[in-house]
Formats: sequence, structure tokens, C-alpha cells
Amino acid sequence: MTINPDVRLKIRKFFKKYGKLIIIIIFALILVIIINRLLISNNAPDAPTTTYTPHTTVLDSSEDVPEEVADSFEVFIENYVKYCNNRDYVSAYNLISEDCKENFFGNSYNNFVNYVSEKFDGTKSYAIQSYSTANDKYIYSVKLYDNFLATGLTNQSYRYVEEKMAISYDEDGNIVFSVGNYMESQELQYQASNDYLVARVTKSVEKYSFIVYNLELTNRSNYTVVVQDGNTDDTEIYINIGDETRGCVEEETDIVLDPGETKNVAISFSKFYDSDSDVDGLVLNAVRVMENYTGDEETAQQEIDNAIYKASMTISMQ
Amino acid sequence: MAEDNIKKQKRAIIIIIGILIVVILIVAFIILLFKQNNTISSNNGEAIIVTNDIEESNNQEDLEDLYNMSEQERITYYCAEFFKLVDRKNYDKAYEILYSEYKENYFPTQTSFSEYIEEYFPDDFSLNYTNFERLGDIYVLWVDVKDTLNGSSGHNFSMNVVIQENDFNDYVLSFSRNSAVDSEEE
Repeated sequence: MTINPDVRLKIRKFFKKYGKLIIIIIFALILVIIINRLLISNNAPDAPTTTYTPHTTVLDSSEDVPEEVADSFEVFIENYVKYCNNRDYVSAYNLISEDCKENFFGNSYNNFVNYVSEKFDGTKSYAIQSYSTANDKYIYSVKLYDNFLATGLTNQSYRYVEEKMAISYDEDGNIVFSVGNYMESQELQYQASNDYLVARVTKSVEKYSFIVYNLELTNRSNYTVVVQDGNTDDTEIYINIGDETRGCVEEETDIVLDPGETKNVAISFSKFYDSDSDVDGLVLNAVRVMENYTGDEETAQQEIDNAIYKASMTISMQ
Repeated sequence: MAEDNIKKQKRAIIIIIGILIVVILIVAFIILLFKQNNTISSNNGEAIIVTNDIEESNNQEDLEDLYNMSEQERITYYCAEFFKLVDRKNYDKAYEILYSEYKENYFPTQTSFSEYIEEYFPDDFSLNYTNFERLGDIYVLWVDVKDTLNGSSGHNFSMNVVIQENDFNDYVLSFSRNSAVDSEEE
């Protein structure tokens, strides 16, 4: 095939006239494309952004877990879950603080095994999330769930078990770790008394969402002393916390002391461990001293009316 | 003479600038190629295997799109991409994306997977996402599968899809196997 000489001449003229311009335009285009590609490549994030930030504290992001300890905490919790999954309960138990063993598991390895085997009823996956910090403890919310990736939720419902685990360092730099929402306990010595009753708060055990007080009550009279039996309209036991009062969880439990009797009772109140409010006092709001006490609901009001002594008693905890 | 010298100097400057531009272009090309290779190799997980130039180009475009997506958008995109493969009967690629333990549990062979899809999934379907949850590093989606050819009289069902993202466009997936089966049997 031959090209018409006129056309060839025109093409040659065209390229002679515009050749440089075309080359410059091609160069410019290539340059633009390359720069564009380079910019895109440079803007490529290192990893996908995700809302999963396990060491960013949910309740207060200004109190994130410091980077220098976050990894060791995560590894520690990971080891605990791994031991539980592998039924290596001894190793898991050894990770737990002495305080938690004593006050949550009653220093009983069997209690721990029962607790863990209920939680780990199969191999569990887990997700940790820093939840809050309080009293130098980092509180993690740990969610345990079946390996949903392995099942695709086939014949399963989406559910998980959540518990708070607290982790911190002691003065020797050792990790102190507690599970089962257990936070800490304290020996206390608060007391209130009158002619009929001596009430002592001897200990507090704090879980994440409630506090348990050990209360020692001594009836120093020859009459029956009723602290709680549900026969009054008033809240019989509560705590003063900040500007509010909170009744005890065990309001159904009767606390009645015979003459000269001493009783130890554990009473729980709703209180978040990381809340700013402190408990100012525990109030036994309807202490009744009775000569004839039957506990019968029908005669209760009459018995209260005939009580030798009725009073509200506050054990200050300030 | 002086004019000739000026012309020569001008020409020399133009040549030097031209050479500089060419050198810059070559260096830029090398950097670009290096970056692209890095990106592709970092995404060569078990799910994604880039085999030819066209796929590399598509992969790069996908990545560029994914960089600008939110977390939820990326996860729903992965889900859509997986079921697009299923819809196009590209079972070998779809099978590669399934989580290994899930495959062992429900689809030990690719044939069992393709047979399942052929039997229980509509020929043509669309997805509607009704809920989205993240649990640690996995995502759970609640998805309605709509039979687009037969409408409400067709095989419509709801299922869960579980996704774990390892990197951009690198993910593993599983879904509630019996959701399609149970609704078929009802």
C-alpha cells in the first residue's frame, strides 16, 4: 500500500510544524499521570482504619492505656483466655491476684474451675476493650464468644459473655490481675452503736457495678432487734452516696437478732467502681427493738407500734 | 558569532532540561513500580491472588477505592464482592475467600460449595444489609437475600455474614450456611 505523496507531505509538514508541541504534550500527560499515581500511592494508608481500638478507654478517651504497658496487658489477658480455652486451669489460676483469689474465689481452686468452666463452655474467641481507669487500675471489658468465623453463625445466635477484668502493676512492677468483675477489697473499721445495737462495717468487696459490705451486728439488749424484715414502708438499709441514697440489693433478706446475738451479714449496693462518688455512710433506717416479735405480717404494724425503741442508725464512713 | 554562541547555549540548556525531565520520569516510574509491587505483594494473602496485568490494574483500582471508604463501607463492599463472585458462578475464587475452618466445617470441597450455591441460592439475587456489628476484629452482617427474578414468590431469606479484614482487599468470610436451606424447606 502506498500513501499519496500529497498526504505524506501534509503529514510531514504537520509533524514538522507541531512535532515539538505534540512531544511536549505527551511528556506533560505522562508527567501528570505519574504524579497522580505517585500522589495516590503516597496517600495510601498503612492499614485499614477501624473502630476497634482496644486500648482507647471507652468512658474517658483522655485516660487511654499507655502504649508502654498496653501490649503486656493484652498479652496477659490473651494468655488467660488461652489457658482457659486449653483447660489449663492451674496456669490460668496462677495469673490471678491473691486478693481476687481470696475475696472472689474464697481461696478455692475448685471455685475458680467451676467459674471458668461455666464461662468457657467451648473454645472461645475474645475481644478486649479498655473501659475505664480507677485507683491506678486499668479496667478492660472482655467479651467472650464462639468462633463465629468458623461457623458463620450457622444455627447460632449472635451473643457474647462480657466481664470486666482489672489489671495494674504493684510496687514491685508485677502485674496484678483480677477477673469476674472483681476489683478490690478493703478492711474497714466503721462503727455505730446505741444501747441496743452495735453495728460494725468490717470489710468492703468491690465488683465493677456493685459494692458489698460485711456488717457485724451485735444485739446488746434482752429484746429482739429487727434491722430488716420488709414490714415497714421505709427503705430499711441504704447507703448515702453523693447526693443520693441507694437501697441494698438483699432487701428480701430478714436481719433479726435475738437477745445477745451477733450476726455477720453481707449487704450489696449498686455502685460503679469507677464512679467519682464515694459512700459517705451506711444507714440502718428502721432499727426496731421489740419485746414480742413474731415476724408475722398481719401483726407487724401493731408490734412496731409497741416497739420499745425505734430509730435510724447511721454508720459514717468518712 | 555572539548570536551563535547564545543559540548554542540556549540549545544546551534545553537539552539539559530535556535530559533532566527524562531522568525524573524514569525515577518516578521506578518509584511507582516499586510502590505498586509492594502494595500488591502485601495483599497477596490467601484470599487474593493477582495473576495477570488486568487483575493487577483492577486490584489497584479497588485498593484506591477502598482507601477512601469507611470501615462499614469496606466490609459491606467485601460482602458484595464475595456474593458477586457467587452470582457469576466464579466458585473457585469465592471458595478461596471462605475462612479455612468454616470450609472444613461446612464445605470441605469446592464442589460441595458450588453444589450448595446451585441448590439453595436464587439464580439472580440482590443483597440488603439490615444490621452491622463489630465484635473485636470480626464483623457480623445481617443480610436479606432477595430473589430478583421471582420477587416475593421466589426464594428470599435472611442470613448472617461474618467477615474478618486482614488488610485492604484481604479478608476472609463465612455465612450462616443453613439460612438458605431452612427457608427453602419451610
